[in-house]
Amino acid sequence: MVGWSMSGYAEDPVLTNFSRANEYFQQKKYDSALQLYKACIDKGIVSPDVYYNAGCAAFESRHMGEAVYYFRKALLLAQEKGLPTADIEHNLHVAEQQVKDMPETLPPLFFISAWYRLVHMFSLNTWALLIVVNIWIMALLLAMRWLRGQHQSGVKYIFGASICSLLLLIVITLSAYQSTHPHRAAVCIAPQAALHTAPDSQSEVMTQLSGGVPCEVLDMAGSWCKIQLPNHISGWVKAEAIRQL
Amino acid sequence: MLCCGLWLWAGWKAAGQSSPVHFTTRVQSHTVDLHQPFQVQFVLENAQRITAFTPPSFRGFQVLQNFQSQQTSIINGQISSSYTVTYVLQPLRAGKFTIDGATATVDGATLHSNPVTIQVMAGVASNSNTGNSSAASVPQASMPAAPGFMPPDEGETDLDQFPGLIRSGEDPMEVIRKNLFVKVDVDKTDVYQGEQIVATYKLYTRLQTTSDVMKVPAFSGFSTRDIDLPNPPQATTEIVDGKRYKVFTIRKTILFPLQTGKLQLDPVEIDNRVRLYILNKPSRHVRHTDPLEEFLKDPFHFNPFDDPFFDDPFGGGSGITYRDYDYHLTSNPVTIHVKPLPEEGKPANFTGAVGNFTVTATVDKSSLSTDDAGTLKVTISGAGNLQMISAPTVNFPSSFDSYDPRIEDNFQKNSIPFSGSRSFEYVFMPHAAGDYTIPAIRFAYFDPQAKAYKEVETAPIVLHVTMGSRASTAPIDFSQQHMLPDQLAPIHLSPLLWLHSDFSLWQQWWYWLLLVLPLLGVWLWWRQQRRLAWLRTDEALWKNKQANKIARKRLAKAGELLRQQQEKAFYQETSQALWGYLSHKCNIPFAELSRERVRETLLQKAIQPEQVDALFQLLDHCEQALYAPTTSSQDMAQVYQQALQWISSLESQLKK
Repeated sequence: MVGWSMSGYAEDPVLTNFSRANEYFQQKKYDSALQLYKACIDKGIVSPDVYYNAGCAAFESRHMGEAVYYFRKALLLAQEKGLPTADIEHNLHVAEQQVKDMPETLPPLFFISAWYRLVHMFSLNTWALLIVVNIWIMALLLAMRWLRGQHQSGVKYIFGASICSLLLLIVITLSAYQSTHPHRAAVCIAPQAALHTAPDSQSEVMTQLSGGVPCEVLDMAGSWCKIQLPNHISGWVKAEAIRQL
Repeated sequence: MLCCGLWLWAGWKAAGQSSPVHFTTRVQSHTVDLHQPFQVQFVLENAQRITAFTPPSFRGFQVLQNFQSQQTSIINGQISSSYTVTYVLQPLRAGKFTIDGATATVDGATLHSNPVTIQVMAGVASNSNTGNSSAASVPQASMPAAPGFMPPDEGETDLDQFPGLIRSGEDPMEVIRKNLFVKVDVDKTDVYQGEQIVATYKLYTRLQTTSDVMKVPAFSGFSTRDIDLPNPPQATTEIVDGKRYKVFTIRKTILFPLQTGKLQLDPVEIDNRVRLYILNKPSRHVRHTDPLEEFLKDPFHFNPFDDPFFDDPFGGGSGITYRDYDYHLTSNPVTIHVKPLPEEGKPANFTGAVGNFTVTATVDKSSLSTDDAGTLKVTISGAGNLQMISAPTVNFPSSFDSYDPRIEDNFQKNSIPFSGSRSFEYVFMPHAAGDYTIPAIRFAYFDPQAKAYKEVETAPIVLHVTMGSRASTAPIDFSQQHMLPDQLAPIHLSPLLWLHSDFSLWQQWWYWLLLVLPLLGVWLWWRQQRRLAWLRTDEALWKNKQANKIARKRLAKAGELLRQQQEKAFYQETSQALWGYLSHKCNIPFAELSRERVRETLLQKAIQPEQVDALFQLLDHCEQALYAPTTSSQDMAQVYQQALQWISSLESQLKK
């Protein structure tokens, strides 16, 4: 199919880079490992594993902001592709423990976390495919009904069930899309960043952000970004201090 | 039971309209307690000239007091007056008694008031008197209605004993002012911030008073704890300026100043109703006895009407009456000077406790595992501003998880000084096995008596922690910076999927095509079906319409022939019309028409057999008429009508 390409193992230069980075990591050369992982990412790899490894390397070299960023990004990618996320979640939690002034979030309610487990069970593509399949089944059922005759109650029930499943699939797909593509979420990657009241380094500093704090990007102006913190305080930071997911 | 005559002249010259005279006996309740005195009132309304009054014999009762009062009111030009004689009676024994009405001579006529029955119950003797106690949420001092009589004291003159009795010429307000006031007692006015003060509001009275507290002082700038007072308020006696007063405590509060500077205790406002007994001026006649002396001799049995002086019809009023006065009292505000606590010598962990305290600490178990949670209870007890004490800091070992403490108070109610205890319960969870010590917990406070800061501390507590069954899931202590956190999950070495691309199904054009295609197909199919069905019904409809039209057309021709009275042609035409109609309706070609087929088809279409028979009858009729003319124009018209009716009824039946 168009767009898929699973490269061969030994030929891809990017893959060799990745293996070399893994070796560095195991030799505890965390900075070099991190550099190589970043190179892979820049080449356009969107595999959650690369981000995950990069997060581990960043953590080991005590760049907490970047570690949190990579882990979060890895989590989004893995959820989108329906891959297991246990490792990534665990490491994200560990990294966030290290963040100073990390805003406390309440654990989600049990039915919300159950919902997201369902939603992220398959990849987004799979859900979309299921929607198409469902629509085709509905069309076939209708055709059957019109060809065979009007009064077939069995077909009616199946048709009703297929409508319900279609709606459910649509909701799941939208939820999956929305949770894996946060369009304004960002993470502070600099170890310390000053939150100003205006896009000007001379203006008053409201607070200092530590690396790893999540935020939402509201606006951009020049080399500044207007962000909102989880406690609803908003202000301006330098654009290079944060990175969007 | 003193019977006497009374001469009274209550005349006035006002030329108002006179209202009817009423003479009634009134009691508050027909059931009274054996030990409780009660009042009986004889009320004469709108009586112009009262020349005699005779009370009934109060058998079974003892007369304690009697007095009279007058009242005039003018409402809308109507004058009404009432003259009331009140007797205070004490029941002597239980039972049912009848008090006869009193007799009065008014304007020469003799009037009797109604008798009343009194049921005397031998109930529990209660302490409440006739004084009224209004139900208010404000603690109020409604004093029992004591007679304005004080026991004599040494050094007091006769008249000083009775401040509630005023002579004519004395200003009642002045009397009240001298004998009724409210005072605020504060045990100290110069304190440190947080040091307790006791404030007592007291009402002093020498008169018969009923009081209600209208404005309760709000102590702004203080933390307060009220002391409970007995309700109804109990009176004590105090001597102020050589005079004996009855004292009621209205409010007693312990105050802790929350800020420094000059703070004020708000005044309390009390509304009082004071009853003063008025001694009227004696008239020109010389009195035989001084009514005051009589009163002094035997206050409970004094009857101002005992004096033979009253037999004189022109004597004029004399004796003792009472009147109620309203008086508003406000206490003076009190200023408290609050000093800030001294800065020097203030320990670092001082959090504002002022008083005298001790501190203890206990744990619920000194030996526990990493699965358990332990509770550390730190109790601070003593006297002072306990309710303002905040939790002391406890330095738990670094591998312990601890949570914010729960506060439990145990204050002694109504204690002066304010004392009790406050406990803080800390829940903690150890994460690693070993022997730990919770270090001594220090607590600092300021002693206002010694004017110095003091510190107390608990003994250190030793804990022994064993390894529990559950592995620790809490984050490891990161105080050692460069220790490798080895619970970071290992990196992924396995081959990567989706190496280069970010393939999203929903971004492909063919996905949406696949999605929309079946919907489109279904929609088109549905439209076609609808159209076919519509056409079919339309064709049938069209055919029906045509059938009707043609039939009418045919019959129209027949109708014309009817008018022209052309028999043969008419019947021929009618027959043809009917057959043509049937052909169309039943979809049978004309050549294949037969009665059987028509009958079959019509019955199939659920037409009633009677209708089918009617049709054939009609057709028979037409054929007969063709070959055996009966010549009747009525007949023809009838046939015409029948044909029309049959066709239209068939139409409506088939349309259903």
